[in-house]
Amino acid sequence: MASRLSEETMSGDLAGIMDAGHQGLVIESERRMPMLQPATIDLDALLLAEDPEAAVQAVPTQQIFQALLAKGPEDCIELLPLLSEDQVVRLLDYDAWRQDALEPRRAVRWLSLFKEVSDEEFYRRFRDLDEEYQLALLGPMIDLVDEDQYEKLGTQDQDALYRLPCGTLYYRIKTEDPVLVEFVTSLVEATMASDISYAYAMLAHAAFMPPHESEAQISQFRRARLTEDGFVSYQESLAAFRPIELKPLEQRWLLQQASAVPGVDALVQKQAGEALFLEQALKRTAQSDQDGNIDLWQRLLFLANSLCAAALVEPDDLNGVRLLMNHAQALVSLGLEHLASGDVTLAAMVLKQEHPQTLFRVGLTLVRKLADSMLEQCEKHGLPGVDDMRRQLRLDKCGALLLLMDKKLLPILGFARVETLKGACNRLPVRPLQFRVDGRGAAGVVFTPVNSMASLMTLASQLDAIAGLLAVASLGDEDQQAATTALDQRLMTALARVLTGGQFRSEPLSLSEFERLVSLPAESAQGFASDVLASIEGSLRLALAPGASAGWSVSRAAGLMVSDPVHGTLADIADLLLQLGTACTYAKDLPSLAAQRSAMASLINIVSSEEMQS
Amino acid sequence: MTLAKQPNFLTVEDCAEISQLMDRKFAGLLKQRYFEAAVNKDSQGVYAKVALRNQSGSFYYPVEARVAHMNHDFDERAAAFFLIDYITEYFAEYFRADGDVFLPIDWNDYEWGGVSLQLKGQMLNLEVERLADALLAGDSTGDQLR
Repeated sequence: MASRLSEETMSGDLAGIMDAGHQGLVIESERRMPMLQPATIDLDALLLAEDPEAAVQAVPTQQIFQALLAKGPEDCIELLPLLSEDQVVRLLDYDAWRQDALEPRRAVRWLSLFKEVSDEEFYRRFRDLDEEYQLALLGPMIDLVDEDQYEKLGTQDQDALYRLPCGTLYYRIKTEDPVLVEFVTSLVEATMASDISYAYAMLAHAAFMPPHESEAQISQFRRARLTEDGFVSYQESLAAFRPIELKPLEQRWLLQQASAVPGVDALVQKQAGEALFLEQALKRTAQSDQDGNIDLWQRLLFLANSLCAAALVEPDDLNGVRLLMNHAQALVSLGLEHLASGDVTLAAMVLKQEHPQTLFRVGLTLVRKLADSMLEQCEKHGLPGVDDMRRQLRLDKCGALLLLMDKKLLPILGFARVETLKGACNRLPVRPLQFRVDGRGAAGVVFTPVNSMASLMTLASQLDAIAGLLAVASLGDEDQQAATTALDQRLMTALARVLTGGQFRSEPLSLSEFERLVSLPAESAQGFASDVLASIEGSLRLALAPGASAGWSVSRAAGLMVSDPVHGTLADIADLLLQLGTACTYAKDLPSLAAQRSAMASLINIVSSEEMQS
Repeated sequence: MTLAKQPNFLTVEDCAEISQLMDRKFAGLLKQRYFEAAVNKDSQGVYAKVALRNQSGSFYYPVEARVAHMNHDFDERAAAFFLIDYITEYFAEYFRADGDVFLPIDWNDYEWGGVSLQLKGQMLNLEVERLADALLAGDSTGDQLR
């Protein structure tokens, strides 16, 4: 049973959801990856094959399962008898469990389909299941009653029993669920008709088996089988999200690149809309090795399966697995592009030699370094709760980290910046694609996976803009207000003071400063604003100069060469100046100083009303 | 659950918070839709309704649940949360199956964690219903329905 949304578990539940990395955020893929989508199995074509049974049994069960679910198992009755015993067991492994607990109704849905084929097939398929599966399903639903016990029962209880052919034994169905009752009675009838001694043995074992013992055993077997498909345990799944040491890998492939003849497409950053780098590399390998691509697809599926436990995706959640496949491909592509330095020819070699999980971890590590650098800047500038956030990031507790950001940083940094930061720290890294209103009409953000070096650079630029603003705000108050006052308000107050002829300081404006600000002619304000921007640009660039100790750029700290880290910050400062100018123009028309103050109080810090009156 | 010790029933603000929590829980799956939660109680038991809807009402899917809490070991508040939890579970299945898990349109018996409850749900298009009402009331020529 999934965790509950009730009062006492609400925060924990949300942390779990956020920790999964895909459900709590709106994520849309920028690129289509048709070549990398799993091939759809044509079930009708399998039935028309020369040997349909062999054709069906040759298909990996996960793909058969997906195809059956897509078409609807109830519409595939002709195909079901062709499944192998192992395939049927695996179908139940995928679909009959929730949170490691067997759900009889889900298992019954599949098994009852064989009854549509024939009673004989129904009995045979149940008998062919692992003994533990049979007992785990029937055990909780069956009781055996002998003649002595029968005589002691009241008429009503006696009527609820089913008599066995020997006349001395009866069985009782313990559940009241009509679907399960129908299943058990049909199964017993079908079994009695085919193999009466097996029927007795089955009922006796099921009735006297200690509760939950068979389920515990079959749960272990199931886990072992799922591991073969890549569905590993939660702890093992988390291992795929551990950062990897980049240097040895980078050096190995740098040497390869030096010895190879450089491709014409080397070092070309792919722009949005073009094919994913991984797809280009696959096309290159497909020219020489078609089987290699099929193998790679299987390895990518294995990787996606291995991410399922950490991302709280059950094996039967086809949408979830597909989404993870997209994210896996995105990060694999990013890691591949980084190691191959954008050279498709080299990438084809990397693909052959490195496991997709290694490439996935390379991609993840690149984003994590960026996120950690950003948090380091936040900590350096005294933002609240950041030491705890960095600890959560190191412990890979992404859900708790995102909730902390919402709680501590939202009032300080504002919605858009916190969402950008959350995307970078998400278990499956994403960056904002667009800001739009959600269904309720509130501000919302659509994210997209970080799937290329260009996408990583975009994220780096967005984070640089935030880090730059923190650095500029620090010039105004040495971060004394960083933990308590919104970043925009600190900056706008300091900018407002400069416009009135004062220094770049974030302390509340005095009454006379405020009066000067409101009465400032527009032409003078524009002139001051240009000077302020130039001055801020100078300060930021100075701090980025080689040898400067106070580097604020997170992209530089993460080893990424963003073309102009200052650009985003300047654009944001210009936007703040524009907001300030618009607010001043509006305030000028207000009748009293108090009204003007009230209109601008949400943007800048002004001395309190009492101080103003005195 | 410790909920049984809390005597007060859920307020409108609580319901708004629950709606927002559900929005966050399923954010990636909502497709511009959102949740509206409401609870009620009478002498028969506690009722909860969680609707998944879009802004225009052209998609409106209210899922309603009720439980005779007096037959079980929890108070009204705990019963309301129990129902909300169950409906949340249902919507998790609903999203997982791409919206292909439907409920009976009239009350039907279910059991969860040993507690009997009833559930119903029906997908509606409030926009079309409003237009149809207007048409029947003679306020419209029906052009908007075309």
